[in-house]
Amino acid sequence: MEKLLEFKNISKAFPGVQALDNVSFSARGGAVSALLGENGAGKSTLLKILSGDIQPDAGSVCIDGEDRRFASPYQSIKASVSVIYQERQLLGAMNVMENVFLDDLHEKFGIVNRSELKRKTQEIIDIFELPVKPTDIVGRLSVAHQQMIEIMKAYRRGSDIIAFDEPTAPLTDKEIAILFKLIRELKERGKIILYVSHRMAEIFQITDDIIVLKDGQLVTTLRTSGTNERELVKAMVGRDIGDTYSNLKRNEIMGDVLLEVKNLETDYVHDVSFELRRGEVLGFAGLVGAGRTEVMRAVFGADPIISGEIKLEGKPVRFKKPKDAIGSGIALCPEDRKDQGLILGRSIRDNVSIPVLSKLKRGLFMSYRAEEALAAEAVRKYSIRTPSTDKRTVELSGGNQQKTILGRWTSDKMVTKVLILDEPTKGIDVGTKAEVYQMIHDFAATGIGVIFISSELPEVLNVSDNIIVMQNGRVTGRVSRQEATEELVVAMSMLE
Amino acid sequence: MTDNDKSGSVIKKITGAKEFTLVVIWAVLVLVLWLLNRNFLSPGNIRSIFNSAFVIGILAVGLSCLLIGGKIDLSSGNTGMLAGVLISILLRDGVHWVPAILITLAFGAVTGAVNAFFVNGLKFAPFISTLAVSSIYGGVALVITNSANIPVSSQDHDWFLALGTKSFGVLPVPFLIALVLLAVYGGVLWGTGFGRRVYMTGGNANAARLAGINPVKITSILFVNNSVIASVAGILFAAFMKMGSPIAISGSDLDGITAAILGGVAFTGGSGNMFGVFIGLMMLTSFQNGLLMAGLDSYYQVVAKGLLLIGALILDYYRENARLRALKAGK
Repeated sequence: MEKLLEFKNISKAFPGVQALDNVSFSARGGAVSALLGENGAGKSTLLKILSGDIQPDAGSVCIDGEDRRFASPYQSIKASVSVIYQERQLLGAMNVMENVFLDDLHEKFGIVNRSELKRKTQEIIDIFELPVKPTDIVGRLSVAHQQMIEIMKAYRRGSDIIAFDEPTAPLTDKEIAILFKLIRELKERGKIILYVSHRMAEIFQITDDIIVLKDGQLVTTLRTSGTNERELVKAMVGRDIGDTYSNLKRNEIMGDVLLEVKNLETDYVHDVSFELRRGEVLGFAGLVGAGRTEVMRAVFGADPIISGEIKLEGKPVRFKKPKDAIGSGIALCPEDRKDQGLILGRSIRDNVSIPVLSKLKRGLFMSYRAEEALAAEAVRKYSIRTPSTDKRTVELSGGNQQKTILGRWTSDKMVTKVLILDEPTKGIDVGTKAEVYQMIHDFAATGIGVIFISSELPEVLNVSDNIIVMQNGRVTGRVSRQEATEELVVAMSMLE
Repeated sequence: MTDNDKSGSVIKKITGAKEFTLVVIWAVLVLVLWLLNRNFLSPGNIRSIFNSAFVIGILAVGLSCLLIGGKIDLSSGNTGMLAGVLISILLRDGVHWVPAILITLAFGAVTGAVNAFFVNGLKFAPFISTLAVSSIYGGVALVITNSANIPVSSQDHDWFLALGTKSFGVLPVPFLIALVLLAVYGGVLWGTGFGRRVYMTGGNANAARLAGINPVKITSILFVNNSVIASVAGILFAAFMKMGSPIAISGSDLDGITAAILGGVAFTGGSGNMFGVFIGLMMLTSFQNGLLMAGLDSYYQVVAKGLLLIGALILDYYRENARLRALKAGK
């Protein structure tokens, strides 16, 4: 009998986001089904539900017609499901055989049977044609080999359902060829295979069916043999854009070049060049991990630069630490508000005043009045919802946390010339997003150059004046707002 | 907001503060111990509590700053001990007491710089690298003294010894110095820009760095400061005992950390204040002294320390739970 995996009316909400909205589709045994969609389309959430890592708000996962509800990854594995995540789940200090047989160490009276383990691991290594030994320490292997070991774990379990999340990202062509051979062999054996990838070429090479998701909804399911790249890109984009953007009061006045980055080279990004003018909103589009954050961290002095040139108002600069960049008028609102933006245990007031502490002194001590005035101004200007500036930032909603960080960089004690916003609308509600877009153009109107990194295509296309597209640590496109279409930008960020 | 509400909120603010609970607990503790033995509050006994508290209190000042800044130093007890030995040797060999103190403080500063270099320069885990330094110092002290005390002669160094032995009423000079340090550092943490940067670094070093603070500089200053303060404790203890002992206060840094944690300093960094540390110190030392006064064997002091800490953790657990519940209900 042919195996069948069905997702039935799956919905899942996270604070501020409907990650999945009534999604139904099925994947058949003996075929490879691709899950395709932009960032935030819901692919990862689906895999996490399949693996029992999270539970859906509504709907169910059916295997061979039977309703399954996975309360934990353990139950999912018991039901013969293996999900191979992008982030490798390996024990770096243990060897290959211990990792591959982690949940079944062949114990005899509690003692691990090493020779048995070694023999069985070697068998799997031979199938994978890898130049490693069962006793090699996993942490010392190359990233590509580690990825293959992650896949070995799933292979060893002999699961009926195997899901791959971007498996080829760290692999070289040689390993990709081996992986595809294995996937084809698993397919022959009637397994159900889900395959998430952004690489179009791969999708046409290895998959049989394609499931396209967008904003948490199912767009369409297609046969790979009956479609083409152009049709897929079209299916992934093209949505209704509400009044959010038409109501936006744009800043129209742009000045001279403020920030110039030439041939920037770091450990993560290569040959990146761009220009930012006064009053310009410069968008950075691309997939998560394309290197946008890394470019900005390097400019800001948070990560080391290997080579390249940065000019601020025509003068060459090279910041060794964020403090120096801030002193020159560059501000960064990091992507991860909670981990890198705020000191969560401290109040709004304390978080707003950090970069200007030395300007708020009266004699030896901090002036409470000056600090309070600064924070109260931020609360008023951005309508941060809080009873007082004493409130600890951990107790604020995502939108109010973001506004607190904006308040920090735009107080009248700061001389911010370049404002870098990394995913400023991530996880905040639609109404607040519109407020943030307006703030961005209000900043620009005062002559600030704004860099706006976003993985949400509609917002980056509609809010920015010009858009830079990145892929794999390189700039792959530059377009103006007038020229930019979703299809064009998706093509630049995904096609080689 | 009416005036009535405002005064209500001020009272609520005071009674809601962590330190208020601590003061109440300390008061109850003192009352119970006094009921057990009426001599507990006699001037003589109060002075002896203070005498047992100054080393721990001074060490707690430096350690609290470091803990709030998100780091730890397990070498400060032995740094203080070696400082006491060092100054006793210098005095014995005829160095005037003023340069002797300066040299000993410089020894503390170098120790702190070494600790800072290990942690910030070589990225060692502070727990391990300071433990190693502690072990080295403990051994060095035994080697250079041949495990014997080094007496400080009272004829040649009466000025120096006065530092450790004089007292104003029930207040011994070393304890007075501890109080001054608590107050000064309390002010620095509470009101200065540097103090604020310490809290921010301990709260989230990553975010603090991206907001323009230099966590490496802040924590390096804290390490040097901590070792210098530890040397102060060692110098005063040598003056108090009229000798340098190669073993005496070597474990006091753990008592200092205990006092800090009892007083509400977060082990994870980013919160706490010197008033709380002072109350923690008094809770710890009065409890230990009171048990002794109540006729319990001195070994029970060690048990008592553990019980106090567990009590503080339980209190913290319920307080945090209540806060989270209130937060949820408010939404």
